[in-house]
Amino acid sequence: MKKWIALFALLAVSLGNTNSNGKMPDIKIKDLNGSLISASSLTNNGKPMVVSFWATWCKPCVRELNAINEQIVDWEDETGVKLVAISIDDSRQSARVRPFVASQGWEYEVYLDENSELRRALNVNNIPHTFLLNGAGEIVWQHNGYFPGDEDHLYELVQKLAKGETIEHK
Amino acid sequence: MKRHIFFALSTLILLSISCDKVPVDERVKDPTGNNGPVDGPQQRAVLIEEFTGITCNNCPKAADEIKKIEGAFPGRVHTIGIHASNFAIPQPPDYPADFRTGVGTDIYNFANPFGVPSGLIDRTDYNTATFSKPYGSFDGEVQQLIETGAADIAIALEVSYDASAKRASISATFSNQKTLDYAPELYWMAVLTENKIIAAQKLPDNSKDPDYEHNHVLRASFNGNFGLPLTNHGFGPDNSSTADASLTLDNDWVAANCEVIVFVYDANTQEVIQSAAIDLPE
Amino acid sequence: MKKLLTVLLVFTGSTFLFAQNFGRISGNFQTDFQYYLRDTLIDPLGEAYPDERLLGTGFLNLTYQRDNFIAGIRYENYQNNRVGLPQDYKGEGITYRYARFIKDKWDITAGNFYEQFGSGIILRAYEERGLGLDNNLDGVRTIYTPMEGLTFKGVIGRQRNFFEKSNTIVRGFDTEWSLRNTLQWESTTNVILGAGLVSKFQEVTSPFYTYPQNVAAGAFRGTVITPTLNFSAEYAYKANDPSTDNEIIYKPGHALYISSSYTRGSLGLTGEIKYYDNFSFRSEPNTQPQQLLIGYLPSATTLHTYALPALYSYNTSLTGEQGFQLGASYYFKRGTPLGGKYGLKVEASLAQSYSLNKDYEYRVTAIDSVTNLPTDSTVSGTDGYTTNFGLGPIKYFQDFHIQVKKKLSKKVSITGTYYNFYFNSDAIRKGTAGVADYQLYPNADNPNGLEPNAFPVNAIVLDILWKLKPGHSLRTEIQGLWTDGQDDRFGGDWALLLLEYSIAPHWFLAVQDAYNYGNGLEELQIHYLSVNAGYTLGTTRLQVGYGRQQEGVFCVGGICRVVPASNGFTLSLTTNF
Repeated sequence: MKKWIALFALLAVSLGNTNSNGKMPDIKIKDLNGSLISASSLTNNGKPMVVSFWATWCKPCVRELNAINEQIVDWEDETGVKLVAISIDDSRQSARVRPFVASQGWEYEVYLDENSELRRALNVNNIPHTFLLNGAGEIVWQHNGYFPGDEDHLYELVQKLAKGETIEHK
Repeated sequence: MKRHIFFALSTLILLSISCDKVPVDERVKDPTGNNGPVDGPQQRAVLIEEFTGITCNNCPKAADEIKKIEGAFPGRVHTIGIHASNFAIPQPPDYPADFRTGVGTDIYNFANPFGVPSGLIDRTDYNTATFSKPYGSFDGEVQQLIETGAADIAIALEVSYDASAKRASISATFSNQKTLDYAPELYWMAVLTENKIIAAQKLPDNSKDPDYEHNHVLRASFNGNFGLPLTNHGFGPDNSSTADASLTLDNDWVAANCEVIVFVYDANTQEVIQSAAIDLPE
Repeated sequence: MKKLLTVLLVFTGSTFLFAQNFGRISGNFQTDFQYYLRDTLIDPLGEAYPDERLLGTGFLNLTYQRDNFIAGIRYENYQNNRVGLPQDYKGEGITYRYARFIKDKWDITAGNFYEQFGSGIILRAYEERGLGLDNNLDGVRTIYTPMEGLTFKGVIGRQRNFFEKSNTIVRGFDTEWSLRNTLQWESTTNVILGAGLVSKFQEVTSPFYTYPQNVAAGAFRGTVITPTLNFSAEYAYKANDPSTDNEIIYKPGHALYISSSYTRGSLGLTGEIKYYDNFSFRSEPNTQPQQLLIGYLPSATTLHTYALPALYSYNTSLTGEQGFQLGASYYFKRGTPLGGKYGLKVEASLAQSYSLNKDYEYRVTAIDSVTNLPTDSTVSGTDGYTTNFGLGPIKYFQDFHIQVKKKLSKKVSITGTYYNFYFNSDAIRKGTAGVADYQLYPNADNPNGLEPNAFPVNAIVLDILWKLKPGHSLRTEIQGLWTDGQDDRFGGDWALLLLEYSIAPHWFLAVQDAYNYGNGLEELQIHYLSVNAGYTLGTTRLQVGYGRQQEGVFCVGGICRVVPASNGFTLSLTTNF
């Protein structure tokens, strides 16, 4: 038990200490044309960006991306936000990502993280896991899991960012 | 660009050289030959504690492997067949036999294997991930221990059996063959195993063999689930001590097919130092 | 523990000292507890009832990043591992630590790393936490990118084996060349070529067989990508590698995996072909089933996640199988007759797996001294078998399913799926597949082979989502599964009802009843009723549960793990920071 208390204490210390915002690390992911690109090069020209980790087999992920897909046109018009969907499907399923995306009617930028390298670098435990990046490419908010309605909360934050406000809750 | 391709190709070639092809006539070794009786000090024998079950389809493979190992090192391998885990639960009417014992379950829980078939080889590698071993590695593990040569402690056994009372008595003498400079905490344990029991067993193809011959089936311990301390046994090169124990057989155990296996182990490392076996006299 | 504290202190201390411009620490943390209750219905003998009653596991990942430098550690603890997971995960310690430097053309990692060459056939170091699988390599990895589109990778290290490492050294080299990027084609078509080689150095003692010390596997792969078409093929060869998996045969291994997809508008077509011949590749030839896998063979089947169909998930037979999958998906756009107001998504797939078409080579190992007849013949120590073109006689698996997704109104959407499986339980669950299927294979004694325990399975899942009011939703799963199949204590018909009420963004409550009403064993025709509730705040998630959980089957890399049915309380906490 002592170990746990010690761990939690240290955890709290390091939590309180993360006052600088992380960025996308320089780790390679694949686009759907098979080209490797660095995750750090993902940008949206100074506008906010949503990065969502998903997989074809993950039902809540697909629900989340579908829910956002219904509204993404409005989101883009109003705030200029862009959504990037990063699939962690492994080689068993990765060939099916492109037809899957087409069958869902998604128009997101989709990338493959086949061996979860970027996922691990960003400490993503379970999916869906959504990051919100500000115009400077800094991670200002993240969320784990999805229930219907979560997308509305996400959009409120996107609107704040677009207005140049800062987000308190991490 | 050319430079890169050259670099890639040369690396590939370099790596592909690091690959051994075993010629057909060198694949199978003849294990017999120099494994006969050795004069001089008693040679180390190896104890296999085999975890098995009547509804475990791969367990007969492990039993065959053990038979092969016993054949390769005659007289120097002793096996205790421990029926434990979910696969040892009787499933009447197809698999009615119950070979589970309290002592067997305790040893199984102590070994905490990933499943059956598996086993302990002289209880080596205690407290590591390789304490319980898959049966495919039994042969190599046994060979390595056999190759250590003379045993640190020699075991001499005497057994008597009173058929009317169904009582077996064992007397074991443990004699050091060298100085035990590692100061072991010595325990000795004696168990009764029974051979040639005919009972249904699930086979690798998942069919049932109603007349499968089970050997080395652990029946009981003479002296507790983890044996008893060998008190007053010194570490000097000529030290020796004797211990006795006895046991009453159940009515359905066939004394003529029973064997007593005795081993001495170091409780500091759990490693078995020497083991020996003797048949029950008729 | 002291070591851990020191490392943690250095980590946290360094952020104190160097303020925010000097890097950032992030991480995640998860802990799971399970308190087991004795349940005589599901476990009459108490075999799956742990002595500890309360079992807890957890891990903490810390990642430090500053400019081009990344470092991380993971602390894991198991007191003890939960029932059904590998019990060799016992105790606590640091199982993963690395430092990584990425600059210009170089990316160098020292310490533990995960890696994949191509589709993973010859090398895939990865983790699957739910299965207790982690085969990361401890060593050095170098990635060199001399120009855009050209990559070289070199790795060397030893594999993780629970809290230890294997003695076997694994080294590998891989190169990938994207023609469009390197040659700067002005084209929408891309061609990617790749090649890799992995070699292990092992030391194996055996009185019976000579094991090779160096075993290499090499692979070539190519991908063509156009705006509509994606075709990818990888062929791999492995030199002689006798092991328990392949019954100690010296035959070389072959693996071929082809995957292709065609996408046009809202039509998607996929096709996959797999051919795996004696391709179990591990650091050590005789090891536990889940441990020390170097390669990964994609299964060319769909991964099902609804509870009942997932009971019969497929699992690649590492030592030999072949099969295919064909899939089609179509999105009927809104406004079309079938699409209606909100559109309609339809998806169907057929997958089959068969044994290889083999002629076994037996070798007599003993002659009976009395009858002078051969008593024992075996494939061990020989080439095992030869293969012929075409499907083998034993069918391992078939999966046909069709899924329809439809939004009915602004508030209700529904997903319906029908599944039809052919499930060869002996092959998939008992491992009597690949090389080991000679027991089922036709031979002189059994001209048609032995009948395996195989059966059809039908299942239907309806998943209905009601958005009751903003933020409030109710999700219902109605599942039914029908089969005559029975495999030990597992089998028969099932019905399942799940109600999940969620209030975004924080709360959910779920009640599930799974009823195994058609189990072949009458005493197991019981209800598995459980309640789960969860609270999410940002990236922190707390989940508590109580109830009876049915037996689960989790499969990976040729091995299925059966997690026994349990009853009790669960608590799970995860967080990211």
